[in-house]
Amino acid sequence: MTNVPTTVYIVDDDPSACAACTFLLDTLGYACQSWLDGKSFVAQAGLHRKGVVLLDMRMPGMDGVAVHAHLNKVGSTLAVIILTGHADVAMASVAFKTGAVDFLQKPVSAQSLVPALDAAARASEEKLALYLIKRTFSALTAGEKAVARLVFEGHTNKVIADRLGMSVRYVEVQRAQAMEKFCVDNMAQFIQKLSILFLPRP
Amino acid sequence: MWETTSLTWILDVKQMSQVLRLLLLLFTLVLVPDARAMARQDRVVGILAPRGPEIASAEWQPWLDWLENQLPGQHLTLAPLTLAQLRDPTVLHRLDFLLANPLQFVLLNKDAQLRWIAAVKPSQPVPGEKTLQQIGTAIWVRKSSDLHTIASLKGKRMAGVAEYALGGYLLAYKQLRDAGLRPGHDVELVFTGFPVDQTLALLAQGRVDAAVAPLCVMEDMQAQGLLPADAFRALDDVSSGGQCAGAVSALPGWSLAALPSTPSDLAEKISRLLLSEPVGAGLPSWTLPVSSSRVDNFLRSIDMHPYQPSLWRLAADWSLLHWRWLLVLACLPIVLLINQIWLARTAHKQNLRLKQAYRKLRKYEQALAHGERINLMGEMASGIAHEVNQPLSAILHYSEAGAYQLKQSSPGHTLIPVFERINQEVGRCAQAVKNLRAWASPAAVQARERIKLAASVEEIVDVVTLQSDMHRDAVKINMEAGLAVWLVPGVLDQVVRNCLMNAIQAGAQRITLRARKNEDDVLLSIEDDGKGFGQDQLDFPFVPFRSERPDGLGLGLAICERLLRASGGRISLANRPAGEPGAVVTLVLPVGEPDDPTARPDPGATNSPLGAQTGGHDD
Repeated sequence: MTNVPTTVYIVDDDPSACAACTFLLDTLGYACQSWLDGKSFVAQAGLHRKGVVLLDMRMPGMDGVAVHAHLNKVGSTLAVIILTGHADVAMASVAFKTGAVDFLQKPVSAQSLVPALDAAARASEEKLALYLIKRTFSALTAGEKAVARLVFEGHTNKVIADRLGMSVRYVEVQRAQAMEKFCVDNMAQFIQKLSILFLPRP
Repeated sequence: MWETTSLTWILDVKQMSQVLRLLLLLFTLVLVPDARAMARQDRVVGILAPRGPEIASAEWQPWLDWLENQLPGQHLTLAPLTLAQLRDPTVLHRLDFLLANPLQFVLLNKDAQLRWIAAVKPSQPVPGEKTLQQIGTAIWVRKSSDLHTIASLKGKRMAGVAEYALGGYLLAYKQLRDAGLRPGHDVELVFTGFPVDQTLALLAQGRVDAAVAPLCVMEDMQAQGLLPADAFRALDDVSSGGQCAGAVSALPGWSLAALPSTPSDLAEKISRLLLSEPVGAGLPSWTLPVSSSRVDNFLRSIDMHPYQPSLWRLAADWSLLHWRWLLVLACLPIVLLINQIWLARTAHKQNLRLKQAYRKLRKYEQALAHGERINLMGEMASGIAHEVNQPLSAILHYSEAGAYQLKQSSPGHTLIPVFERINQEVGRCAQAVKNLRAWASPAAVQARERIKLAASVEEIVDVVTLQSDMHRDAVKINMEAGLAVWLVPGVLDQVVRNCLMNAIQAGAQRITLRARKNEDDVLLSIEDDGKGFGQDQLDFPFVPFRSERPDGLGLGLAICERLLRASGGRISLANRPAGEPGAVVTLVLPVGEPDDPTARPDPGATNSPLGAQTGGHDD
């Protein structure tokens, strides 16, 4: 578990189930927020931060599948754990296909919930990191982007300057600006961040 | 003895040599005692001899002698004849004249051209005298017999003279027919031939129950002492008016006729003689030949007239004339028979087909009903699972939180095991619910198959329209050819059937099913013109127990949705565009394995989800 408490978003149309889950997770040290329907959750919750969604499948109006689809659509960094009272194989496979971290059947014990939450927190952290890097990268100028890509590929400033048809000095300035935007002060950290962006994820 | 003598009568006198004639004369000396010299012209007079040659000779020889005396140069020979001889052309050929009852003339005239010369004049019956001129018949029974009417002869044996004997059979035949009997069928007949005495002799011997004899034969025989007097009784004695028992017929008396070969002048001469000359005492007196119409009528009345065309003859003539029609008529029964056989065969085949179709339908219905029950149970189990799992979840969370807090604040608190027991019980309860669901939803474990869409949909529509008031023609199926879907068997049936039933229950008059290939699946839409979906149904589709019908469970669409989802398909509900009433249900059906989400290589997706959590909360 990371030092920052993970926020858990409970989305369930049953208020008492919501309350019980909140009570348990509070006890276990998670920060909890709960919503009684999918629509208000996607409208109100911050979707681009570190957090785990405990998503009930069967809800009136916007159901679990729709909420999950919406999160995927907006590229939410929240990790999703499907929590349902009536699971079946098809539903589970759809859930995993659309990127759920876990699929749990109610009633779920703390024993299986906590590892799922931790795994989800890590997944969310990764997603958030990627999201932030992507956001930073997209904020770079075209020149900075090109220089960053060639730096990641391991080329020297001279080669980069030749390739892009600019002076070595200009390349250096561009790289410094990009590293500043990525909040890194050495080359190793810069390459590591870029690897998150450019390397294909397993 | 009669046979041997009768042979001698027929020997032709004319065509024999003189020696033979002499021989014949020797033989017939007894019969013709007054045979004259050979020089004279020989004429043979055939006389019917019902009672035999002797009696015939005795009766007629005096008259013949008288006639011969009147005819110089003519020698008349008497030739007694039996009925059989009368019908023999070779015998007739040798005769010059014939004396017989007129019936025989009519019967003969068909073959021989007879000229009637004179008839014996009917005279008032004189007691004790021969009543030759009277024609009649009597049916005799033994006096002791219990037969009293002609009708009582049924089933008895009766003796008659011959088939063509008038007094000896035909007159009695008519009486029997008039009494409603069929001689020869209802009454057994025995023919004796001439002399007619033989019928009565048979009766006297007891070999027959009744005997037919011409009028007065019985009385004569009794008078001659041949039969005992007072031993017999005449049946149905309508009385002759004379001294003889029996029925007198209105037929004319005996007549004399000339045969064709006889010279006309001789015939005329005899005719004149008989009609003009007073005959001697004891000899019959003569009159003009009577009309044969009575005889004709009589013969016709018993269907025996020689000129009366036989029915067979008529039928044969008619058949020859109309043989084509007859052929057609004859063919008709055959055609009808063939038709009948063909119809029976067709009906049998149809019957078999119907039975087979019925069996198939029954099986299909049963499978469908079974599937529906299972789905209903599955959906109910799912509903129960949901309803029970929610509070179970809450209980588990609370008790786990409680235990955790106790462990943090005061480890070793006595209530900690209690919380753990609660957790265990919740696990047990959850397992029970899971078992219930697993038991009630076998669809999830069934393998999918390739199903031809058009054929299946046709079959479902057939069954649904059969089960409802919907006419089959009101359901249109519009499909691209060769579409196939990849589903658990029975799912398509259940879902389409449910949608059709919903449409029918929503008052649809027409339903249209359309199917087309989409990118990775097949879209099957079911459009109707019923009242459509309510807003509530469109907002919260597939929520169980929310039927708009008072008698509905509200599970149908929920089950459909679950079945399709489990098979990798989808279902969506909509109403037709504004202004048009009715609903459109769209089914998205998977077409094959590659689109099978469960089969997609997705790490951890195939086995882990349910498997991982099974051990999870079970403790």
